[in-house]
Amino acid sequence: MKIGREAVEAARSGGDALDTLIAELWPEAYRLAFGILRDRGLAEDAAQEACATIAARLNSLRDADAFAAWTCKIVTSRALDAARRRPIARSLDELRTADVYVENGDALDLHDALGSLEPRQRAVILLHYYAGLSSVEIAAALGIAPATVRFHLMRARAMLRRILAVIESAHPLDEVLTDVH
Amino acid sequence: MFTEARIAAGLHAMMREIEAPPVPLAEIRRRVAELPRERPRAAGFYLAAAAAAAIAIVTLPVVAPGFVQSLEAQIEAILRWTPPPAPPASIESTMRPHIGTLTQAQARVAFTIVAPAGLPKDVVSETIATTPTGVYSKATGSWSVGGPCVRFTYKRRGGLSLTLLADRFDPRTGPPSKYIFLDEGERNGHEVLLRRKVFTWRNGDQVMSTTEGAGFSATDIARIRSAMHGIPIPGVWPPQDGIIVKQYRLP
Repeated sequence: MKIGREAVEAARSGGDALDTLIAELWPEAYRLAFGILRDRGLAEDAAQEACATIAARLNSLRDADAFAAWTCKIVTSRALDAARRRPIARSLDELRTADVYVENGDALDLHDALGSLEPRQRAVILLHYYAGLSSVEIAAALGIAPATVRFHLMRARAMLRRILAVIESAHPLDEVLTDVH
Repeated sequence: MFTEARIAAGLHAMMREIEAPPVPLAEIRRRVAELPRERPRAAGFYLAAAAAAAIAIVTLPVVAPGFVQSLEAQIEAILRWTPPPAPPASIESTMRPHIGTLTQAQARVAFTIVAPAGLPKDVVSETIATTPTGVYSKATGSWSVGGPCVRFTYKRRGGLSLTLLADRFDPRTGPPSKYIFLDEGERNGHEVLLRRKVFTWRNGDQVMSTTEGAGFSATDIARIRSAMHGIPIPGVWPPQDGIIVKQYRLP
C-alpha cells in the first residue's frame, strides 16, 4: 500500500484528505481481503470494516511511516474474522472463473495453489510476498509469535511448491513453449 | 521451479488482476459512526498546567474529525482549558521510563530527591522510575524534551496501586491545577469524566504531586506530606497555564 507520509498526516485532520486516503487505500485493502477470503462479498465487507477502523483510529497511529504495515494488520485481522464467521467452501474452478481473471501463467497457478490453503496460511503468504512484511510485522498482524510465523511460512511455502509442481507438471504445453523460447 | 522471486512476482501479478469495486465511502462513513469510541491516546500521559508539576489531565478522543464528531470540544469546555497539541512521536519516543534504585534515580535528575515518607503500613514499594518529560512552549508553539521526573509506584492491599510524582520545581509552568479529570468512557450513553483532587507540595527544589483515589485518601496524602515536611502548594481551578506545559508519561 504505497501511500505517502504526507497523505497520512493530512488525513489525520479528517475531511477531504481522509476521504482521499480511504479512496487510495480501498483497492489494496479489497485485494488483500479477497486474496485471503476468495469471496467477493466477504472481501468487500471485510475491506469496508477495515477502512472504517483505519479512518476512526488514524490519530492513534503514532508513526505515519508505519501506515502500510498498520493497514495490512487491520485488513488481515478483519478478513480472518470474516473467515472465522463464515467458512468458505467453493471449488477452485468456480473461484477461477467467477472471481478473478488471470492472464499470467504463474499468477494463475498461484491463484489455484493458494486456494487450497487455509485463510491464515494465505494471509501469511500474502503478507510476506505481496505486502513485504517481516515475520515480526506479520506476527503483530496476526497476533502470534514471530517464530510461529516463520513456521507457518515454511509450511505454507513447502505446500505451495508441492502444489505448484503438480500444477506445472499437468501443463506439458507450457513446458514445450518454455523450451521453444 | 518456483523460486522465491518467481512466487513473489506471480503473487504480485495475481493481486494486480483482482479488480476492486468502487470505493464505498458512504458505507465506510456509516460503519465509522457505528464503531465503539476509541480509548483516548492521551490516557497514558499527564498534561501538567502547573507551577510545581501539579497536574491537569485531559484526555482526547482519537476519532478522526470529519467522520464522527469528537468529544474534544465538549471536554475542553468542561475543563475550561485547551491543551496544547499532542507532542510529536520524536518527543514521545524519548519518554521511556528507566527503572532503578533511588540512588540511580538521583544520578539522573537535576533536583534533590526527597523520597516519600509516612506511607500507610500496608504499602509496598514497587518501582522507582525516571522518565524524561515533554515540555510545550506556548511562546514558540513547539515541544522539547525536558529533564526527567521520578515516579514512585507502590502496591497496596486489595490490588490497589498508588503513584507519587516528583519533578524539579519550575515556576514557568504556572500554579498547579486543583483537579485532574480521567476519561472513564461512555456509560449509559453519556461520556463520564472522573474528577480527582490533586495534592502538591514542595521540598527544596523538588515538587511532588499525587491524586486522591482508590489507592490514596486525602488523609493518607496529608500524612505523607507532613512526614516529608513538605510545603503545600494550593491548586487553582480552572487551570492557569504558565509559559510552558509539561507532560508526564504514565506507566
